[in-house]
Amino acid sequence: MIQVSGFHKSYKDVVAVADLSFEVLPGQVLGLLGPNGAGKTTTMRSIAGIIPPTLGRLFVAGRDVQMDPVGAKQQLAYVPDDPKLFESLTVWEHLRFVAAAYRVGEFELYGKQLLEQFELVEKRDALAGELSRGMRQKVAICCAYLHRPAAILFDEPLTGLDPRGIRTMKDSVRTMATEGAAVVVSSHLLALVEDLVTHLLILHRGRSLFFGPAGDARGAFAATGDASLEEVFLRATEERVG
Amino acid sequence: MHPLVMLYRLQGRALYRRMTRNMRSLKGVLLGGFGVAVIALWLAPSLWQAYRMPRTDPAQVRAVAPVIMLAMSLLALVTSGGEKAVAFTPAEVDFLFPGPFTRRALLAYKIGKALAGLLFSSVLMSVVFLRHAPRWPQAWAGLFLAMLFMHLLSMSITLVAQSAGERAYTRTRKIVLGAILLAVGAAVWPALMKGGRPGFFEVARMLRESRLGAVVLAPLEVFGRLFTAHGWGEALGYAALAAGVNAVLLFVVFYLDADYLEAAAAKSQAVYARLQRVRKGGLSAIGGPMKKARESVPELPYLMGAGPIAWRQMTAAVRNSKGLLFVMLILAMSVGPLLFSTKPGNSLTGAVVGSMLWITFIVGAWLRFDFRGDLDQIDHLKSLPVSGAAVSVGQLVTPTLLMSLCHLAIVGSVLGVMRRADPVLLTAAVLCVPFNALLFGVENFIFLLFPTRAAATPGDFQGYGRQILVFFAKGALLLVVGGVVGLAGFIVFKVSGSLVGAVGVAAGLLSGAAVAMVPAVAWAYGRFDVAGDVPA
Repeated sequence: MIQVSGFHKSYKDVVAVADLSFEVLPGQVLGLLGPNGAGKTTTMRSIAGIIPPTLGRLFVAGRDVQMDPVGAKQQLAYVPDDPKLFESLTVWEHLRFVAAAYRVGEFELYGKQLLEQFELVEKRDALAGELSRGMRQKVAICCAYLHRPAAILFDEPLTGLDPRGIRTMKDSVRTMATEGAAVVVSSHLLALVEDLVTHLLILHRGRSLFFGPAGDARGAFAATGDASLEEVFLRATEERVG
Repeated sequence: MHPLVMLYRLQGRALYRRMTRNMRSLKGVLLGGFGVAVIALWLAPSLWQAYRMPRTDPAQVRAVAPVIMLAMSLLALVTSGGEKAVAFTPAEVDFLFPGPFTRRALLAYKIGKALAGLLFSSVLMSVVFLRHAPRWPQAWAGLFLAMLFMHLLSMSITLVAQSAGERAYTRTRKIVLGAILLAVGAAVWPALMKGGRPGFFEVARMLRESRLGAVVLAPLEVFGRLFTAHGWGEALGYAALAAGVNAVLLFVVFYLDADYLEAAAAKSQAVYARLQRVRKGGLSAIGGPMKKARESVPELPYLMGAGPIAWRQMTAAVRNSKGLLFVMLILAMSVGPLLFSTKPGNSLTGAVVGSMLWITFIVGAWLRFDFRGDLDQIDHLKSLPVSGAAVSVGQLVTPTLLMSLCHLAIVGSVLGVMRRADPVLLTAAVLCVPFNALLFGVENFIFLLFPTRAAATPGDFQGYGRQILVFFAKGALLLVVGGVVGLAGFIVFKVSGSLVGAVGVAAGLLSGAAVAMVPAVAWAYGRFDVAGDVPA
């Protein structure tokens, strides 16, 4: 699971995220929503141990990201927005490297399954530099799943994917959550993630506007119980601006 | 096997694969062979000098080497302010930073990767500088360890800065810089008091002989001593000492365990953005990213579609590179006074024409406000309802105008200090616009036929070969056209005795050649396949 407590990140006088607390339990899929510059990527990169928090504590699978970064990262996968691959390595070599990095013993069978699942079998020996944006995204997702992490962070995972890729991606997220992973998905494609998320965290200018089950957000911000996620998001952020 | 060691292996295999991939075709073999031949030709004069001419006096090398290293260290210290960070590639940031690796492991990986690059470059440099060393192994070892020292020093300074915090580091840096400059000043002061103007060798000698200078230079001495060592025993001793100095820096790097990941990730993003700008255009890559659309260029007439294309490129040039264009213009305008101050009374014509040629080759590669900077936008250009010829004309206007402005500024500044109308310079002024139009026409024609994104990476002999071949092809084409134009002008001058007539004919022919390049560029643009793989 992922646990964030009193997280605060500032750059000199600019506050990127202020006093943020939330947790994502195994099996939950948290939708991290917010307008551009709300602090979504900063939050994810801090959980991933790339940028240190100014204040607060972050845990992945019970391990403190600051105190035990390697232990926390061993349980985590992070797929950034527009992932950059090693251009001169092949798709399969990326899996090999990730398997070695996360000490996955017999990765070949699962690696092949992932390539089949994401329709990358024909690209197995292709250089990453020759792949399209969507295929690079798929490779990064396969790499993320390979060590069966306890927590997964996706930053805009659907951008660049074709409809089948989106379907596969969403199914795979559900499967990972069912198997016990805590998943965080940040996306602006609200209609596409609507049926995926179980919980919501709405950020605006670095502050949390809402955190809780997705159904509760409808009650908090929308007039009707069947309001779309887009409507909830717009109402939440509009109310704040007003 | 440790995963980071595996990554080395995979990347090494990838490099080998890239080098050998194209060797299966005849074109690849020829390009690779050509690249190797060019490097061999580059190194051959150094080898000839080393074995046919007397070697440099080791005492002289020992006196100069530590001072050069001190100067480079000071440069590293001076430029270490602001947002310096250990640079990782975007893929390393995305895969290794969130991966189960300690910060120290990632630093070790980074240093190991740098070692591979240093091994390659130190072998080349050791051949280039062989005539200053008694033996090659010593020359290579000295250069390798000295380059490693500079790399580790730069890394240590960056990590110290990140550990200490910006304000404390800036204060300490000023104190250290002040102390070193004080040491240099104290060493040179007696000579200055006697009214002397010591040169570099003299300053180096005085600095070494002063007590303070000797202390500052002490850790750097060993590298020069290793480079000039005669016997194996002596070389091994100095190699051990140099390795010891590097080990101290290595200890600092690992002991600090600075939290560099955030700064390195930000730096990586900045480097990646710069790389993208390098791929789009030379000049704009050197400056920072565009922040606000402040400057604008007046709209140009439609001109069958060429006007808007030229307007777009001019706007990009003004917005992305205003500062550098300004510096370029100032430099061009200062050529006259500079040359006049060094050669008062002499004819400046030869030097000016040389400067113009030099600037043409250097600046021409920067002024990529044409197809060369639009590689990622060609599909968009092709979708416009504008003919290929009009697109080509529009693309060629901006670099032609900028380069001509630069040439005219040089001629103007020189004529200003000479205070007389030099016929050769006036001819150059008349011919510069059609010449530049032809030059950029040829540049773009060859680029569209053989597109390439970035400079060759170390060990990419095919990349070197391709670049040199393209360079020769451009030079040959310009030489042929220039030769015909020059010959025609000469014949007219001989027959009619009129310089104006000769220049007029040359300008007409040059303009004709430049105009003839337009359909050629348009043809190359038409056959450019946007879906094709562009060599990186």
